[in-house]
Amino acid sequence: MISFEHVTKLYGIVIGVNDISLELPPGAYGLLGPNGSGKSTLLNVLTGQLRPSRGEARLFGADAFCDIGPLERIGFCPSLDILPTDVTGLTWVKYMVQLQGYDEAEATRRAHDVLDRVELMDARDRGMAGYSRGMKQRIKLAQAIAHEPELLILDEPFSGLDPVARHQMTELLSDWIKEGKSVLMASHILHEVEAIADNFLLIYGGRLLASGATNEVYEMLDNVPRRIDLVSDDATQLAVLVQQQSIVDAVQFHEGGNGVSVLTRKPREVFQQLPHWLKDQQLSVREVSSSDDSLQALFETLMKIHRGQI
Amino acid sequence: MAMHDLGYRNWDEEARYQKTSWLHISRYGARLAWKSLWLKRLVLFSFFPAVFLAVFFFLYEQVASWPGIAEMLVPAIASVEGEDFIEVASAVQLTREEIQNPSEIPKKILQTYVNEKRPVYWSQMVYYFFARALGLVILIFGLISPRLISRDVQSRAFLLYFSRPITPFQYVLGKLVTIWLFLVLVFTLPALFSYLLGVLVSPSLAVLLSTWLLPFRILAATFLIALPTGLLALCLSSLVQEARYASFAWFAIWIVGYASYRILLATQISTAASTASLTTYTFISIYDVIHQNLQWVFGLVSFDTIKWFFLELVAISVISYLILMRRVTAPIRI
Amino acid sequence: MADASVLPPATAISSSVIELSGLSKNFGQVQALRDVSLSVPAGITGLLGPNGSGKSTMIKILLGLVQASSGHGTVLGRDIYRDGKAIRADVGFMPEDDCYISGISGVEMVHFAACLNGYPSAEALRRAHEVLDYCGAEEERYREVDTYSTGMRQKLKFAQALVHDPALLILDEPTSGLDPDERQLLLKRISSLAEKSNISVLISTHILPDVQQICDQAIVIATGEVRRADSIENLNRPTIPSIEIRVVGDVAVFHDTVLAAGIEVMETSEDRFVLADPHGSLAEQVWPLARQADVGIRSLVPARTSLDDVFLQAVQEAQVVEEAQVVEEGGGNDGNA
Repeated sequence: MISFEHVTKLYGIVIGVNDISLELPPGAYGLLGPNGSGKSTLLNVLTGQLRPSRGEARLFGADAFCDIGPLERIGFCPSLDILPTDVTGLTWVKYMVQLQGYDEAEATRRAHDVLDRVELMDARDRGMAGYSRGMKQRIKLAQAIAHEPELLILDEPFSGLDPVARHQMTELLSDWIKEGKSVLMASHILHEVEAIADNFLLIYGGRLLASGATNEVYEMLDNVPRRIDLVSDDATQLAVLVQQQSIVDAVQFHEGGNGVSVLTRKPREVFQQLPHWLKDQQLSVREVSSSDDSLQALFETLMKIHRGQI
Repeated sequence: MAMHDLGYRNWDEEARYQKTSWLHISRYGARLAWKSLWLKRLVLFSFFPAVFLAVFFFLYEQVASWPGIAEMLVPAIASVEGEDFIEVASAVQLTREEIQNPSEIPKKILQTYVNEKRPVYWSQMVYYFFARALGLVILIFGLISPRLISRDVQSRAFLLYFSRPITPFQYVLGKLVTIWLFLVLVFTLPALFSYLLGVLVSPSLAVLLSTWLLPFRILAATFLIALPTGLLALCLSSLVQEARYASFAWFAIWIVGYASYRILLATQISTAASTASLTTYTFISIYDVIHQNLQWVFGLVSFDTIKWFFLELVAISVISYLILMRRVTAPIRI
Repeated sequence: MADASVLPPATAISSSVIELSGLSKNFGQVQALRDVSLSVPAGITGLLGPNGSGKSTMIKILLGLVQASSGHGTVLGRDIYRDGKAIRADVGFMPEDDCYISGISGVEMVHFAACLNGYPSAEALRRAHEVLDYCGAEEERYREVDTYSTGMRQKLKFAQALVHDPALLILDEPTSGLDPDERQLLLKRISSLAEKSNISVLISTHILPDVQQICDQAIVIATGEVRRADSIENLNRPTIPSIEIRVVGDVAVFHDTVLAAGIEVMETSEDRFVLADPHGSLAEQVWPLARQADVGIRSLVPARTSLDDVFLQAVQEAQVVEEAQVVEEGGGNDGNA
């Protein structure tokens, strides 16, 4: 579906993306990275708005910069505030659909359908200047899906949304994915994307640091050094028990003595073995938690490796 | 080893200057404005009219004592001024020595005339100075003011200002003072300084008695120019986000007004319409309206003649102020 | 559930920083705030609410910039109607929008802010540097603010709110647009200010994990009314005590094992289970069950209602109430709305 071969984009002396190669079959992807890491550049190269300085980017097998073919199969929802203020929602969506090549009657029908889907029917005849943030994001989404593309590309879909609007957007996107269509979503807020995408691409400084499916990512996490906290009333005995295990590198007591922290390079094995360690000892362990259990932690670890700190 | 100065510290200082803290807005505004090279050039150039004014005062006082000038000037003034001058001259009392040395008489007549007419001529000269200087004021304001508020509109700085103990009125006052500083620097101070020079160079300090009104007129003229033009400039600046639109609007108002008025005047003259209706067109040109008001301030015409022009300046000030305040307080209304 | 509960009473040492009673505000026909009554104690308080819920109106009223239509209120003991200026002298506000004073450097902007509060100039400059040190602004403080990135501008906004050592900080979306590591640093700074320097904080935000992480209490506002006002602990407490467990291994087998042991499974998704724990003894029981199902345990914590759910529930209630009112009003006029 998407293929990048050693794509580099330079803006004068500023680097946009740096030698990115990837092959993405249809699916739901989250493109994650901090601000200025090259997410928007990558999307712009993909959709043919920018020409790569080096390398080749292909969308559905064609170069989107030269060929409009692939553009008919995608819907693009940009991050910028591009909505004209004195036009009504319906007019604008209709216009965007017409630009896709539909005649007026068909465009009107599709516009109504899609506005219904994003729950903006009530506001369709209002000028877009009066739309809230959430409504603006939804209408941008509307024009992106009106022509039923196979791939939906979104740049920062959740930015500035309140939890209610975020929830709505998450549901809309989940439904979209359930219909079997593809999504490529760029964001710098990890936990919002986690709910929707099953594959991740981590980008920083224009370079692709890591990519994989969710479970692969968590597996990666399970194999980097981690701290596991155990809350227990029998902290001392627990400490004695745990430090005997070879996969445990170090044991620390919690402040206040209500538990221990286990440092290990093989957290997954510790999780699996924990029930068995406790079998013969009648020790109570009331809580198990690992603070670095998230995509954020993976990102931080990758950054450390990237900078040569590990 | 004691650890001090680590992390965040509370601050015990007293906020002593709360009432005048808005002056900092002027300070920063003036500093930022001064960065402009063109402004520096313009300010320098603006001192030339003041030099002329000072030279005039100097010459005026010295003219009677120069040898040979009096003999030429007395008949010349007599023919120009007519009855007015004859009256002044006839009132001159000659001493015994002067009758015996008639060559000194023209000098004395001239000196008396100079003394009698001093308030009038001085006022008139300062009026010309301010009237000519108005063009420079417009240029200087046009350089500084467009960015003053439009930049704050663009960078949404109002939220930062108004979340402090500053009222919108103080904010506007701060911005006004920024522009007025330059006005005072380039016009009021040189005018006052020239006046002082004139007094020092004149025959006796008794001159102060006859011309004491002039410094107040100078201050009034400053105020008359400063308030409407300052408010108008800020009003335009507050209406836009891009300073150049405000700049364009500012110059357009003056130039179009000025040119239209003169064109209409010219057509009137050529169609020989009554002279009374000439003044109705003056309202278009704020430049000329201010001139008319300045004439009143310097005692050259009565208030009655120019009362509508005065009202126009009041109207401009009030409307500009209202629009300006509305724009500035927009972020804190909903 | 619709009544706003008053927050836990303030301790004897610190009185409440904000007290509102019966506050209402309307703009013509629109009712922005409706009978708001709160008592916010010292500490870090989260202010949550969807867009258009009246949050920004309330903040402007707290700062004394907008007059309420009715009701009473004090901020730091000062009346919101009469003492607006005094309030603003003692409160630091960090606006949500990207705002700055253009044409000057970072340190000059913070200095300017302190001077506007009435502090002597040289002392204010010294203080500006001190605050920028704390906010982690290094050499960039000497560069013009116009050249700053979003992250640096946020730091600067925070610094100008903090420079005059306010007793209360009101922060509007302080972490929006920040990278994850910058976000953590800012949150830690806020916590540390509240804990060590006696500064109370009111954070208005959409990012609920932030609230979960640092706030002591939270207020939820929807459709102009206070829907929830309680400590984070109480908000998190689920209606039925339960534990959340995440396993490593065959989830289906574990699921069956748990059901067989007669334990109620309240929620399940992928490797995560929420199990009812009415007697509080479940934490001990799960270990043998894990051994039996041959799974590892990755996480075992008391379940808590996520703030997301609290928020959504509160907003939904508000919408129901509002719709009911519209129907009521619309009942009189036929053919309207």
